Amino acid sequence: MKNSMFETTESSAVFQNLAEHKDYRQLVYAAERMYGTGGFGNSLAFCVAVEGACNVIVPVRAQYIRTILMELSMMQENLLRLASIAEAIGYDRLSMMCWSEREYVLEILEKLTGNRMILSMCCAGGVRRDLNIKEMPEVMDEIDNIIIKTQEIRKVFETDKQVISRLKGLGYLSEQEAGEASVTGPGAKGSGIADDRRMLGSYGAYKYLDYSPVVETGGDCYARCMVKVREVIQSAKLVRKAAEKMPEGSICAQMPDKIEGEWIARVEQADGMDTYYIKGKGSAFLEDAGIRKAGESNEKIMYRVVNYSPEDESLVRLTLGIDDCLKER
Amino acid sequence: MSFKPDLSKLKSVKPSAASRGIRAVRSFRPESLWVFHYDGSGCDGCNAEYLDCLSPAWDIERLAVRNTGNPAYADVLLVTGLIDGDNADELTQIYDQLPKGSKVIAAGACACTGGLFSECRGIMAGADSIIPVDIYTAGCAARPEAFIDAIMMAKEQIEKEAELQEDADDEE
Amino acid sequence: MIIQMIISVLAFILLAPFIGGIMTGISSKASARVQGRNGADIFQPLSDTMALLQKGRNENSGVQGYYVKVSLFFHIFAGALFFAGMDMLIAISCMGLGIVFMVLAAYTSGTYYARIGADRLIREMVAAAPMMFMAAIGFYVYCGSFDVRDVALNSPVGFIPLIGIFAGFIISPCSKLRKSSFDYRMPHSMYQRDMDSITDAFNKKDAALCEIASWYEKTVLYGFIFLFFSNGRIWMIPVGLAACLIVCVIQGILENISPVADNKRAFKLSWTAALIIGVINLLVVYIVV
Repeated sequence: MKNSMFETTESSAVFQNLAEHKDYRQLVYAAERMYGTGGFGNSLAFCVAVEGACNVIVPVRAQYIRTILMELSMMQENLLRLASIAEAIGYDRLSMMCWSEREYVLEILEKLTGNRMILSMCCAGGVRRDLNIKEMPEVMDEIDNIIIKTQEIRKVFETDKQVISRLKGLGYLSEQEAGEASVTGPGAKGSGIADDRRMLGSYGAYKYLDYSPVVETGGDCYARCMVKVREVIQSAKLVRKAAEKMPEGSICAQMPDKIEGEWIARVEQADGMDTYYIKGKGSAFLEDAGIRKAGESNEKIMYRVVNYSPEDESLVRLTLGIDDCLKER
Repeated sequence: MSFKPDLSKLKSVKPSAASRGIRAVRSFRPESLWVFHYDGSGCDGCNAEYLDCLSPAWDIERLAVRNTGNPAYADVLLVTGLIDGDNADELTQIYDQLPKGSKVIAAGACACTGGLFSECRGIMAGADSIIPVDIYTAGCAARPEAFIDAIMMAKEQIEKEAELQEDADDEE
Repeated sequence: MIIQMIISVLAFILLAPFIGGIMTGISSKASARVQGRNGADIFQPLSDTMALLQKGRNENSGVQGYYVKVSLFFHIFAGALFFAGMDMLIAISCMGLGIVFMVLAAYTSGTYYARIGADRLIREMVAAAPMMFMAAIGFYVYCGSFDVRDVALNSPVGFIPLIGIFAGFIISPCSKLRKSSFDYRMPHSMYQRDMDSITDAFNKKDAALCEIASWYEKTVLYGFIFLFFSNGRIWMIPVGLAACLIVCVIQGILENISPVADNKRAFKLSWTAALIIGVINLLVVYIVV
């Protein structure tokens, strides 16, 4: 895009390229595919940005549905990270447990939306389809089972001495450094900073659900792992609460055909904060757009992290939210 | 004048016991498929779904499929994700290391045709603009069932080709 | 007696790859079941290696192929010495020499990851050495000789008196019966198999021969375990075989109960286990018996 105001990161360049060809309704699907496992979160961020630029208020039922799907999506992402971390320390059985858990979450998502990771449920103005989870007892039972089994995984992380010895003290990041470099996600929450975009209540139904972030004070890889495990349990409980409290109402607000104005949306993903910027020019096509994924912004923290050897670097990057899963060489 | 062979005079040739024994030993193909997974730059959705195939829920290991990290041992090259200018060299290098008779699977919309990103600058329209692809699998992200389907299809193709090769060798 | 030796050596040379492959398969199947999945067939390692050999039959290998074949020869030689009934210390040393040649093959193959794999193999050999020698010394103290023939045929069952050494042999984290516990931070896991191992830059034939050499080694190790249960009577033979199968399954389970320890800790654990358990056991045997 010409004269783009947004700092060009890799995903931003691709997104701008796509925004030249597609209008804002089609870009929701493009935003989803910017990051596969965090698909719903990205489409949500884009929709929040577009709605903010047009000053459209999303109906409350849609906010609740968005919250439920966002939390389910974050559960499966966190479990993916945990499975990769367990594999990186060589504990195959724990890794397989996390993969199996993730499979249950993906089954729930498939029952609700028909897709596993890239849900295509978000649209500008609300959601595309209605969900009535209160009347699906199998889904509610499944969520309870997931909570129970994730408590077991948490117990392994808390009590297994060898897991603790592999992770504790590794990749220490002090609270001050984390605050100065504005790290988000498990990097911040593991170092004691209670910082989460869901607290602001600018999207979703978190203000009705009494959300408060999970915080650990260790600052090392172990603390960040514990943050992820506890977040999975917290997300499942939020899904239950939201399903029970969901009011009646419409699921999508009317969106104008032309976008005017600019807006920045910040949404919490499993890795941290995702930023979406859009600028309209008075038509359905956007003038400027930009993305900053959480992994890209957390990358700059690596030089401040201490106490790890080059062999452990992949483990540290996994816990900080820079990498998502072990890649091949 | 066209020459027509007189087939009535042709004696049927039965293979001897020794050659049948040799053929049985040579055609004993152990059931084992080695898969090498290459992920281009993409959204990592298909990557995560392939890792899911190795998890207890789908478990392709019970189908005698083994995931390997060395393309020289592989029977099947599984390509997911986008191929762009940087990846093209890597993919060509990996393809050159594959043994003869290997199959290439392009899994996911991005590897087949470029998918959503086909209009973007620098993106090749699918893996088949770089290397010859044998099997295409649709999906965005491609589901684990689709991966398993594609790998089993590759296995059938390899076995069929090996049989044909043997028949051709025997006729020589 | 010579005919007996020749028969047992020939049986070893012909059958050991199959026995080793099946034992590997049983361990992987047990490991997969503990992880909650079905896992590959018991005969799958045999199929995999045979497929590799078939795929790579028209290749020529360079210097590394020569070292791999020498290593295979020493593994077979060590096993032949062991199963012919000779001195077990020589068998252990020959196995060590075989591993050294495999490490040399990995170093000469040249890539960075092959060197990591060679590193891991050396550490594995050094960490497992004390337990093996402790086992041999245990047999000497209890049965009076280092010869496999004497321990197998002419002396009482060594399982109960040497139970500490037996437990150490099996449970020690650096036991050679398991996958290597020296992960060098990049694990030998399901997703990145063959990546950091010594076979990284080998061609298919050499990789298959390397795997077969490890099967010969495994058969000798299970022969050691059988020795703990043999006293020359025919009714102890099924007991010994059953014990080998149970140990095989236990290895698969033990792979999964803890993460891979980092290098220093793994060394410390295995050497202290060997020293403490082995020495206590030897003292007990010496004093009581």
